[in-house]
Formats: sequence, C-alpha cells, structure tokens
Amino acid sequence: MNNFILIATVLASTALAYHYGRRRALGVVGGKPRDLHSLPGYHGAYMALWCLLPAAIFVAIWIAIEPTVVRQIIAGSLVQAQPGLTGNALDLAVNEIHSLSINAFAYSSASAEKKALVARYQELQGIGTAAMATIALVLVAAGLFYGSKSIAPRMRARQAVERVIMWTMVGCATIAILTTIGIIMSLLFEAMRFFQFVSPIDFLFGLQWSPQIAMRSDQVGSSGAFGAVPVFAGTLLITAISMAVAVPIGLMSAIYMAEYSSKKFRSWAKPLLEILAGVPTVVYGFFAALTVAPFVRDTGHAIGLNVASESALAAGLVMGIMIIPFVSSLSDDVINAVPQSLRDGAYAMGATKSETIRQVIIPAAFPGIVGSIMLAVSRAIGETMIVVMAAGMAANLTANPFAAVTTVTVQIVTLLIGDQEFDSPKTLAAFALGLVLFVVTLILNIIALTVVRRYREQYD
Amino acid sequence: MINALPTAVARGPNLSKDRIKKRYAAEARYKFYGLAAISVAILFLAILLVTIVGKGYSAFVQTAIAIDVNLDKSLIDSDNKGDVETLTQADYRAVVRASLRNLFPAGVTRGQERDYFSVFSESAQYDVQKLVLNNPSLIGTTQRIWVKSAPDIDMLRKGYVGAADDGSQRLNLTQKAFYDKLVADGRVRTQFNTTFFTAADSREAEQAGVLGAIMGTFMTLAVTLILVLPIGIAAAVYLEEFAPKNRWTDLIEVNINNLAAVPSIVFGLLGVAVLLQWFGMPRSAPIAGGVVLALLVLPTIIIAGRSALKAVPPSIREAALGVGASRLQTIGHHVLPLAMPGILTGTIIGMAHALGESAPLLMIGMVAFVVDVPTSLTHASTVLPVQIFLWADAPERAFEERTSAAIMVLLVFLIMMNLVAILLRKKFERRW
Amino acid sequence: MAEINVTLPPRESTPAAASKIKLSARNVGVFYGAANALRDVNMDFEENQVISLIGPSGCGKSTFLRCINRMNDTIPGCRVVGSINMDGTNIYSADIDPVELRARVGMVFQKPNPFPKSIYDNIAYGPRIHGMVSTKTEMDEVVEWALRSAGLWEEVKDRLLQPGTGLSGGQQQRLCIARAIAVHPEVILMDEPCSALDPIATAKVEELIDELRQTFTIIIVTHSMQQAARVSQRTAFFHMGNLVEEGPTDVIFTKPKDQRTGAYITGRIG
Repeated sequence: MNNFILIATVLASTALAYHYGRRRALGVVGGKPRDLHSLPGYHGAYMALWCLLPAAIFVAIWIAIEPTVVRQIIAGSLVQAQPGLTGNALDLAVNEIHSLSINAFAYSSASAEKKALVARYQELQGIGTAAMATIALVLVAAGLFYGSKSIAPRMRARQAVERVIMWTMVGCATIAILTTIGIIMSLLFEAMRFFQFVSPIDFLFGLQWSPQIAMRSDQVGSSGAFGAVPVFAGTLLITAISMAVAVPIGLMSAIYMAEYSSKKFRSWAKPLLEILAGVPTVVYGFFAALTVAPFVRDTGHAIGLNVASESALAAGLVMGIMIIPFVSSLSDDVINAVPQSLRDGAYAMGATKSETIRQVIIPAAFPGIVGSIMLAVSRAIGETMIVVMAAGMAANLTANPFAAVTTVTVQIVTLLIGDQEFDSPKTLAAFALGLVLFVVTLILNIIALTVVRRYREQYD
Repeated sequence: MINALPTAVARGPNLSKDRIKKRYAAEARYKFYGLAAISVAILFLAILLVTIVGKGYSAFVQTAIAIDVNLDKSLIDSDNKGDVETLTQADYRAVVRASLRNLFPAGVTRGQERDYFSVFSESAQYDVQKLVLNNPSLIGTTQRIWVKSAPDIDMLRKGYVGAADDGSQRLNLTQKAFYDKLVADGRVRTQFNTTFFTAADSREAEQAGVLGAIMGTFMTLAVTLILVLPIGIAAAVYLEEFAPKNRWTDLIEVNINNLAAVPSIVFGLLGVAVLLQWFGMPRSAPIAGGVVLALLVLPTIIIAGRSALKAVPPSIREAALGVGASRLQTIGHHVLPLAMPGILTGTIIGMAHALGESAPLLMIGMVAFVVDVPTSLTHASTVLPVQIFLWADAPERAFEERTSAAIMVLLVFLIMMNLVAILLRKKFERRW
Repeated sequence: MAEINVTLPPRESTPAAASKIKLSARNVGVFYGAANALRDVNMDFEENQVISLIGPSGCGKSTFLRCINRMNDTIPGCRVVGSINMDGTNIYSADIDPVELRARVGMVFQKPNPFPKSIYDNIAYGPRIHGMVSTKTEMDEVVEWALRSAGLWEEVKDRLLQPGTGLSGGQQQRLCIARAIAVHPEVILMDEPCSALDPIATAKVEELIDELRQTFTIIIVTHSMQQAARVSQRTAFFHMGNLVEEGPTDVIFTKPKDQRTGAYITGRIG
C-alpha cells in the first residue's frame, strides 16, 4: 500500500512537472513558442523525465538490493543466537523467518525467539521502505529543481528528450539479446551442477535412463541411470515419423499451390492449411492421445501387430500433421522465389509442367527447401505437448514405431513438474536435457536460416 | 561449317503419340499427387475439428434432477438465530439427504442408500445453501429445486455409458432403475451447463468449469501484452529506423530470428531458472507466466513490427524530414501511425500464439489444481490450454467431454483474435 | 474561411535592388562509403533567383541539392566535405541542428509525397512542429496563405479535410510546395519536381516557381533543358561529379564555355 502511494506520488509529480515545464517554457519567451528552440511540450517532457527517471532508477536498484541486505542482517542475528549455523541451514532459517512474516497463521504458533526475529525483520523492512520512499521523493524534488532551472529559450529540450527515448529503444532492442544470454547462462549453470553428479560422458552416451531410481538416497546419480541415449533415440524416432508425414504432404501441397492451383483455390486452401499451424499443440496432444493412439493400437491389433497404446507412431503421425503447414508455407515461398525466367526457359523447350517442376524448379529451389525442412525438424524436436500427452514416459531404446518411446521434451516436463529440488540430479537433469535441446535446435535454425537467406539473395 | 547433321539431330525430337501420352500421364499423376496432399491435410483438419466438436458439444448441457427439499428448521436453524453465520454453517448435506430419502423406493436399507445418493451431485447442498441465504423466509417450507445429477448419470443420459452389475460399468442396475423411475416421474431434464462457464476447476466433473482458467489466461496475457507491445515496438523502431548497420546490429538481427525458432519449452526452463529462482517470482502465478510468454512472443512481434515499418515508403520519411521534422518526430508523427495496423496485426497473431502456448507454463508450475477463480497477478492460477492438459489426463468420461468443450472455448477465442487481425489488415491495407 | 491578409514576419532584408549572396558552397564533396559522388563544388546562390542544376543522370546534381539542407545526413555511410555557408554561417558546423536548418531550407521531391493525412494537416504539420502558431485561427491563416501561395486554394478550399493523397498528381505536387512554403523557409530546394507530372500540371508548377521567386531563393534540379531555360535565371551544369560550368541561363544555353556543356545541351551526351 505504501509502495502504491509512493508510485502514485511520483507519477503525479511527473504529470505536474510536465505541465509546469510547458508553462514555464512559454513563460520565459512571453508566450511566443516561435522564440523557443524546442516546442513547449518537449520542455514539459524534459522536466517530467528529470522528475521521474532518477527516482525510478533509484527505486529499482533499491528494490533489487534491499532484500539481500535485510537477509544479511537477519542472518547475522541468527548466527549470534546459534553460532553453528552456516550455509544451507542458515538460508533455510532466514527463509523461515521470511515466511513467518507473511503467514499470520504460522506466526501465531512460532516460538518467542522467532517472533522477536520476525519483528526485527519486519522492522528492518519498514525502515527500508521508509528510507526508500524518502530518498525517492528527495530525488523527485531535486530533479524538479534542476529541470526547471535549466529551462531557457535556447535550451535543446527536444534533443535531450529524444536522447532518452533513443536509449530506451536501444534498451528494448537489447532485451532479445539478454533473453538469449539468460537462456544460455541458466541452462549452462544448472547443467554444470548436474554434471557434478553425473559425468557428461555417461549422460551423452549412457544407454540406461531411469531418473526416478536416483531419487532413492542409497542410489546416487552416478549409477548410470542418467544415460540419455534412449531419450535422444526416442526423439529422433518420433521426429523421423513426423517428417515422413509432413515432408511429402507439405512439399506436394506447396508445389500444387505454387504451380498448379488457380488463384481462387489457393486463396482458400492456403488459409485452411494455416489453421493447422494455428491450432494449439495441446489440442493436437488431446487428439493424439484420445483418438489417434487408440485407433492406431486397435488397427494394429486387428492386423495382428503388437502396438503399444502410447506408440511412437501415433505421436509422430499427429506431430507430422501439425508440421505440414510449416513445410508447405516455407516451401511455397521458396518455390515462388524461383524466377519466372527459369520456368519460361523450360516451357519454351517443350517441357511439361511436371517436368519443369521436377527438373528445373525443385533443383533451383533445393537449398531453400532443405532449409525449410530443417526448420521443420527443429520444430518437431522441440515440440512438447503432443509427446507429453501421447508418447510414453519409459525410455526404450528401440527403432520400432509401434513401441512406446520417450523424448527429450517429455523428460524435461516430467522431471520439472511437481516438487522441484534444485540440488537433486533429477531436477537438474532437465536443464542438461534442455541444454542439448537448445544447442541442437539452435544449430539447425542457424544453418537453416542462413541457407534460406543465401538462397533468397541469390534470386533477389 | 557443318557438313552432316549428327544422327540424333537428324532424327529430331521423339514426338510419337505414345511418348507424348506417357508424358501427359505423368503430368496428370503429378498434379493429382499435389491435390491429394492438400486434400489429406485438409481432411486431417476436418477430422480433428469434427472429433473435438463431436466429443465436446454435449458438455454444454447437463442433466438435472428435480428434488423437493424440505427446508427443515430443526436442521438449519434449530436455535432460531437467523443470522448469516448460522445459515451459512448449517448442515445442508443432512437437509438434502433427508429430502432425497423421500425419493428412494420403499425398503431401501442404509447399506443400499449409497448407490442412490450417488445419483445426485454433491453440489446439491450448496444449491440449497444459496437458496436459503438468498431468502431465509423459505425455512420451514418445501421447495422444488433442480440439482445437478452425478456425472455418471449425465453420461448415461447422453448415451456414452451403460449400466451393469458385473463391475464393467460405473453405474449398477439399481441406480439405472432409480434413474428410469426419476425420468418417468418427470424429474429429469437437460439444462444449459452454466457451471461450465461460472466455476473454476474441481475434482467433480459436474462442478468443474473453465472460468478460473479463462481469468488466469486473461491476466497472464494482459501481463504479456503490457510488456510486449511497448518493448516490441521500441525494439522494432530502433532496429528498422535507427540502428547503424554494423556487427552489433547484425548480431541482434540473427539473434532475434533464431530466438523466434527456439522451442517454447526452453523458455519454460528460462522461467524456472531466472524468474522463479533468481527473481523469486511466485510459482504458478500469472505474473511469471506473462513474463515468460512475453519473452516467447517478443521476437515474433519485433519481426512483424519491422516488416510493417519497412512497408512505409521512404518518401514519407523524406517529406517529413524535408519540412524540418527530427528523425524521431518523423517516426512518431508519420511512420509509426502508418505502420501501426501492421504492428497490431502482428501483435494479435503473436498473442494468439501465446494464448495457445502451454509447455513453458507447465514448467513454471501453472499446472496447479486451482478451485478458486484467481483474482490477482500473484495468485496461483492456470490457463486455458493447461486446463485442457489437466483434464485430458483425468480418467472420467465426463472430463473427456469437458476437455473437448474447453478446447472449443479456446478455439473460439483464437478464431476471434484471428478475425480481428484479418479485419484490421483488410481495413487498413494500403497499397503505395 | 474569410478572406484574409496573412502577415508572417517580414524578411529582414528586402532584396531586389542589390542582389545578395544567400548561399555559397566551397569545395563541397560527397562520398558514399569510398565512392566519391561529388567533387570540389564551388558555387554561389543569389537571393530571389531560380537556379537550375542540370546534367546527365548520376552527375551529382541531386546529391549536391541534398547537401544544401543536409538530407544526405539521413543516408547511412554518406559523408560530406567542404562547407556551405548560408548568410555567412557554415551549415555543416557542429552547432547547427539539421532540423533547424531544414526549417529554413525547404524541399520538394521528385515524386509528390503528401502525408496520408488531410490537406489541412499536410500544410499544418510544419508550422506545428516548429511552434510557429499558437492558436487555431493562426493556423487556419497559415494554411490558407500557403495554399494561396501555391495556387491551390481555389481548387481545394472546400475539401481541406479530405486526404491529400486523393488529389491529382499536379495538385499533390503543389500541395507539397505549399507544405514547404508553410514554414516560410528562405530557400526551397526542388528535386525534379515535374518529372512525374503531365505537361499541363508542369506548366502550372513552373508558373508557380516563377511567382515564388519573389519571396524565396529556389534551387531546382531538372532533366528538362526547356524547363531550365524557362524558369531559371542561372544554370549550373554538372557532369560526373564535377561542377563543369555555372552562369546566367541564357549564357549557358547560347554560349557555353565548356564543350561538354554544349554537347549536353544539344543532346550529344546525357
């Protein structure tokens, strides 16, 4: 609530600063904006920024630092009371004080010493908040003072304001980079911790995957239960099945739409195919688990095959359907980029349309088509919901499409859903798998995007 | 000088009828393959939609049974206090059970009662409670109210299951006979399933609804939109209009394109490691989910924004610069407003993508079983696709129906968003 | 809108009698990356004259024109050397803001490029960002004055709120001229202003240029020799990035000193 009042005060002062800045700017030139270097609005914005920015930056830094400082102080008092407290135990104790301070029910049954610490904790927090608010308001006032002093007819308020906007935009553009760095750092960091339990060699080349076993205290991760080869193999199997569905259908659809279909047919067939891409993957997952998997199993039984009810075939089939539009729309673009002159050349020699397509257009578009298929593969590898809902949990090392296999994404979800303990290899294994997933898809994407771009440039 | 033609040339092209016919046959086959491929793809889409609708439409109605509740004063308010607390705390379960017993055939023993009670939903007591709280003067009277049937009866009425005594069905023949009697008495009807739209999740299928998930979705997407729209536009404007062409901006560009193709589950891992662990954001909360989805769709929106900006012809920029506008004024007054429809279309499509996304949200714990409709950005909540995932896992037949219905709700939202995007594009489409 | 007399701040100097140098270019050169698009141009522009820049495509005349209001600053990798003095101040010195400069040196482009806004807003934009007016009435006056000056008022006065992009090509170009006039610049640059117009619209614009000479200094790039002859008092001939020759239009067209000029005018090069 106090924070709310602080924010409201700062925002209100900012709004006032804007109006004051405008009026003052007009005031210094006697109401003739022509004599100002910048429009009055810019002077207002300049004032508003001086009012808002220092305080906002300060509050952001304060909020980032304050909890750590308060925790340090509390930890100090805890150590005084119990000299033996260190490391994780100390962390836990501080956490307990924190949760007692926000949970009135637990607080009522806490011991007297703890209640005292909670009181101290809350007192420190109160002091922190009050100090933050005071300093923030002082900064607002100082900003206002400085801003209003600098208003003058020749003051380049527009440049100043534009510079701030510019840097804000640079910051926003950097967020994409920061995301990538965040992904890489967090995956690497957690995977490193995992590799303290399990050696990377065992992880990458081990043939046995049963992370649940490692939960038992007598059996540590290095028992070989974290060999990810069956998981990778399962991923590849399902990806291969989905590609076997998506590539021929997607590619032929693209060829038909680019070369044969009338404008009218294309105008409704293309959006229909794109609907397939717009259907949420959880819907495909439901469809795979409740309709396709039983159908595949029953059909298999009818012709005397032993098909698991969570067969790789069912998951791969549905994933293939989902991927058709990716292949088709990317290939469609690629085929359309082949210059008309190549087609004209082939037709002029008496080639039929299909001969032209097979012997001229596809060879010309080949790099682009390969690129689009690689993008589709990357998507299939990273697809999660369909396999979580329709593929198995058990890691079987098999190439039999009728058996149940598991995938990288399934394992990540299973390992992370539920209680997360960030010091058990079980949870950390998810990040190691995530790292592999990220690296593989990244390599596929980079190659594919480069190939497609080179291809485009070739015909531009 | 060529004295004699090579024999092959002298022979000329083979234009024999047979060969031409073969070539045309190959042509026709090839064309057929293309058409077949498109047909297969569209057929899959049709099967998918028909299956979902076929399974889900019946969830929008529900079986209800009329019971005559004797609002017995001795059970509700024996001390005649009449205050809200007493009326709230009263044992309505007993009130309902007492009234239900009147419906049972004569001679039902205590041991057999369970079968009969389980024809009705446990929610009947809450209906009675609400009735009394709304109008305490009814106490002492007998009221006929429609209560929900148990999901098994609902499934029976909809024809999905039968009844048997051998344990192969969830209903036994006694219950079936009782149900038939209720039907014969005119006490059974099919009504619109309002609960589905007004309740949050529940273990009991007949009391489960999507409102909680819808609210969670709205809050999550609101966080996403608030983050992604300004940041996406600012980044797109900077990269398209201001960024110098150098290694750094090349890197940003490559990075954004790649980020758009990173599997969504990786963003979930980022959310767990950075948002939950480092920043200590609450698990399962819309604020964390919104931030993860924002990072997920940001590249898409930046890419869409850049292409919208690129489509504004340079002559507009020159015109504004020529009258002495600064570059930022040029962008702010002219280029951005003209690119806005394109940017918004891209944003809506990105938001539709976020709406259907579930994998990263599983990671950050939005799979929580939440029986309350969430009211704040830090409350545990779930979103529509994750709700679908949760229900799809439930073994009861009644949940299968509701899963399909929830998918229909999700698809309706997606269709609406895409329609808005298409209309926006149509309305503001501009050829330069 | 009632019939009004618009008074904008009068020019500090009233020329006509003694011609005064408005702009002088000294050793101006332009590089696009490593390519040298313009070399060592030295040239003076007098006030209240129309000066044509002619020459074959790619000779650097448009590049030079864009130096005068620093539009080249917006092209990445473009570098300008030398100096251009306007009323004695180098417009390339560090303390000159290109935005202020462009308020004093307006520009009209090859293809009419009205903003996709109303006719009124097209004219009002410049005065608005330069803080020239403080009331709606003043703005109305400026808009009417600019449209009258561009000879467009009678044609558009009843549809000021309709989009400027709905006008014909010639009207659009006059709208762009009116837009440039509205900020009351001292110099107007025109980059082949009639190349996208039909002969009748061209004639109207040429007439307008001649009238505007009373108030503004006009520098026009043109491909049409006849146009240069019709509208300008002085002409400069550019060839392959060099200023070959500059002088009174009639002299350039009748007795060129350089044989390349003569060859271009008679159609042998270009």
